[in-house]
Amino acid sequence: MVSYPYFPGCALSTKAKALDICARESLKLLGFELVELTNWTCCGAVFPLCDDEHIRLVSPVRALFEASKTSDKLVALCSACFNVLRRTEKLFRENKERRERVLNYMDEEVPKNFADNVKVIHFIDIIAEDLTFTVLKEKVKKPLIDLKIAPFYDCLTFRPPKEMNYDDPENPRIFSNFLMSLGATPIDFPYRSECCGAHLAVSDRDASLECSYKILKSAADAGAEAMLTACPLCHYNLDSRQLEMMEKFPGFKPLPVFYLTQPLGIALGLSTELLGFSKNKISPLPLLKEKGLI
Amino acid sequence: MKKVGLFICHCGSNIAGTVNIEKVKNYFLSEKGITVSDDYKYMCSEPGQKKLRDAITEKELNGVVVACCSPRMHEITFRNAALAAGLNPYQVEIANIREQCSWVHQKDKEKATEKAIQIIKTMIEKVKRDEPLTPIEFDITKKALVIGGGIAGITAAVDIANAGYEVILVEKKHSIGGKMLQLSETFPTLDCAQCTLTPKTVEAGRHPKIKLMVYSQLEEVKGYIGNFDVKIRKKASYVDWSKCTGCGLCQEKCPTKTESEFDRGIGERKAIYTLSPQAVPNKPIIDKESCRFFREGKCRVCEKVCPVGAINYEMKDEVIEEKVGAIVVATGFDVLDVEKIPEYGYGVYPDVIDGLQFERLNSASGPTGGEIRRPSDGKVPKEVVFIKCVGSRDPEKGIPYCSRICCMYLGKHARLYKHKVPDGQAYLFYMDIRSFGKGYEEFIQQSMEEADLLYIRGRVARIMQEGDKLVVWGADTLSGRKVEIKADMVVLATAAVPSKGAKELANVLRTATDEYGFFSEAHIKLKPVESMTGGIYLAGCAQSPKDIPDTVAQAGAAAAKVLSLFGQEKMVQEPLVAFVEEDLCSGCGLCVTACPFDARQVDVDTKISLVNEALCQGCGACVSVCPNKASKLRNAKPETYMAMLEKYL
Repeated sequence: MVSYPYFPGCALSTKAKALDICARESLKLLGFELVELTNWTCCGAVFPLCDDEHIRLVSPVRALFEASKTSDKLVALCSACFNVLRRTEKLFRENKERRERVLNYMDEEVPKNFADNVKVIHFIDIIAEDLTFTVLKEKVKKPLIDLKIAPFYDCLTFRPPKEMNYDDPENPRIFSNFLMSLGATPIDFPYRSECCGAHLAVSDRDASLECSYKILKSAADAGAEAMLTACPLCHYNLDSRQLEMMEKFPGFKPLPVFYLTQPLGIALGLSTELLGFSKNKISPLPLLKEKGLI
Repeated sequence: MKKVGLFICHCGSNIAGTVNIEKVKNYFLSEKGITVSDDYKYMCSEPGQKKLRDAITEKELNGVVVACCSPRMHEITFRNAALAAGLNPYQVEIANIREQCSWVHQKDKEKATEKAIQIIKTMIEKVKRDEPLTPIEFDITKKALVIGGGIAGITAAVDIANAGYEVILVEKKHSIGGKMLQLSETFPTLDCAQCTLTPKTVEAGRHPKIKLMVYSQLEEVKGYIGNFDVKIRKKASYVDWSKCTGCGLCQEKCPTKTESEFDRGIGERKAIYTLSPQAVPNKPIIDKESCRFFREGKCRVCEKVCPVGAINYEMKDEVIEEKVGAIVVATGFDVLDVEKIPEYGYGVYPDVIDGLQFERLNSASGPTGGEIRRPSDGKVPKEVVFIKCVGSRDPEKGIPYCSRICCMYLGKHARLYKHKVPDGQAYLFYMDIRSFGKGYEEFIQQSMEEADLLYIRGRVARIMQEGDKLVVWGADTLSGRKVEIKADMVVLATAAVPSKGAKELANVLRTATDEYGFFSEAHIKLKPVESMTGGIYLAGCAQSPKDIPDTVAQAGAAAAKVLSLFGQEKMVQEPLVAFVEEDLCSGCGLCVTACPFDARQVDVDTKISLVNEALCQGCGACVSVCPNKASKLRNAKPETYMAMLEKYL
């Protein structure tokens, strides 16, 4: 069994537990193991944009150091963690001065010459590159035939493009290819990489609600029966707030929103408890029953 | 013995503010061999120059040092002044005490004064050793080559030809007219582009002094200003144009259709085709990529129908050699590539088109016969969004410059659209409106007020297809609100970029391009039509994006530059070139490989290296590689420099 150091992050330990559990359990069935870092702390949540904000890089660097002890890769799954860790890794590789500055804060726990050759990869990279979608297709027990899922491409995984260097943010394909290998029908829709409203859910709830509503409506109009997202914050905006949408936008029909790893779990035959649908506000169970998948 | 005169310029306070002029002057008064040491507030002015001329005549000076600004600025000024007073100009040298002294040492006046003395001392050593030289003269081939057959190239070619000189007009496509021929109407007068341009294309096509070479490309250039040897590749058209009458039967009967580049993919053309029915010359070519015979080995329909037997599938490219004295580069522009603008869905959504495509839609000779019908379903669009600065003024896309034509042509598009679809609505997103030309501002104002166009100040973030509508997300920065428009068609003013192959052409011509790939002018204000290479001139969008009036003006200026060159009896060049001490030369040929200008070659019989003085630019590469120190530069011999260094140290 191939194992990878893994940074779960706060959301995956709480609200987005389903995302985490489905990932670990599914990978086990595919011959991979996610080994949680022993010493992880908050990723920082937002990548610091000021050139002199060194202290906020301490936490992601700590994670890179922990991972470097056992591997040259570090797996992230939460979009926010992936964003912060990957950008920190790039910054450390390219900006020796900032590297030095940050490490000055950490001389007791991280040696200056630590091997920072750790690549931060996304969970899906294990499947896309180390396993390959072709092999995944063979391992699928219950192909998600007839299930029309609209993959939503969150901002944090793909942007800013120059730093993340991940797929093509204007025309991303990775989640579609992933869904296809599970036997599902991915639905491309115009709003697939629009803003979900993000943190406006705190400061301007109406504005954020409108953003999420437009995305869901665009997917439904394109024929989607469900949506898929990798980001816990998107999931909150797109899933949890559908009850409000039903009140505010007459005629709105709710759409189940899967976490990235849930369709994988279904296709590999994980038990219903492990799939963790209780965390989904709009339950996908009726849809899955209708399709004969559970 | 040299009688050297020193003239120190104050340059207002530029030099005098830092360097103690009085002290410098007095220092040299007591120096041996200095006949005159004088100063003036502005040496370059007429009174200053008079001082210099008078001193040369009165004191019979045979060497002059002017201590002033950089030689790039005024070396020529003072050399001409010396010449007027009867002194050989190559015995005048500049001691740069401004850029290399006063400007950089403003904080330490004492040391600056010392350094000025050092610099002047050094140059005096040079002047003492300077020999009188005569400028090099050579013949001029009074025939011009114009590259590019758009409005710029045609204008330059016709102007030169009308003055009585021969012109070769080379065009990459198989007929002339360029981008302007694709336009429908032109701003600010809304007159038809065809009606203004076609008489000029016909004139260029028929002019007895113009040799038209279409479907051709410049392949090689050797030589120098006044005497270029060029090789031009004439691509195989597979139609014998000497037989072809332009009847058009082959185009009618050809069974293969493909996208028309002239109609920017909106219309279709045949595999054997002319660019447009009014093409000059009106002769077709066979496009090998789409022709059924070339792809599958079967068909030959055109050969069967041609009444004069002009089709020749065996035709090969021809390379033609010519001698010319001047070259005008008029290669025009292209519009930005599709893949650079993914957020607007250009190239993905059929109804998101660019400005040139709109021109074709609106053109009476275009694919819709001039009716505004959108590409996807042929419906007349009722809501049309026009977006400016697509790519332009956007450092993220690598195009920080303004494309200069879009503000005007989008206003024109919207207005023409309203003429044809009076109940339609036109929205124009703009960053600001740059209507700088004659009659331009009036045109825009009239469009806003009378044509009922809706100008929105803001950028568009994204365009998405929803059903048969295009949802345009933008911002209105004047009211501070988000704007969402459900449009039927979107027209993008995509950035003007250098024409494809401009960089490669610049390499062939051995001239420079700027960071974007436009040809560089020798000086942005004072030499805007001269390229960085002598004898090569620039016209139109090859240099930078510009509108038709500016293009025509610049083409006229380029023609005038060519004519002022051709008006001279002989070419004159600076004699500061390399020469060979024949006793020392062993004929090893190291200088031949070192020379970047192909100016050196070893004589087969004498085994001594020669210098082609017309080609030599006096760079000194041969001097540094010569193992015997046989290669030297006139008035810059190693001995001279050693003496200068000794004085300095």
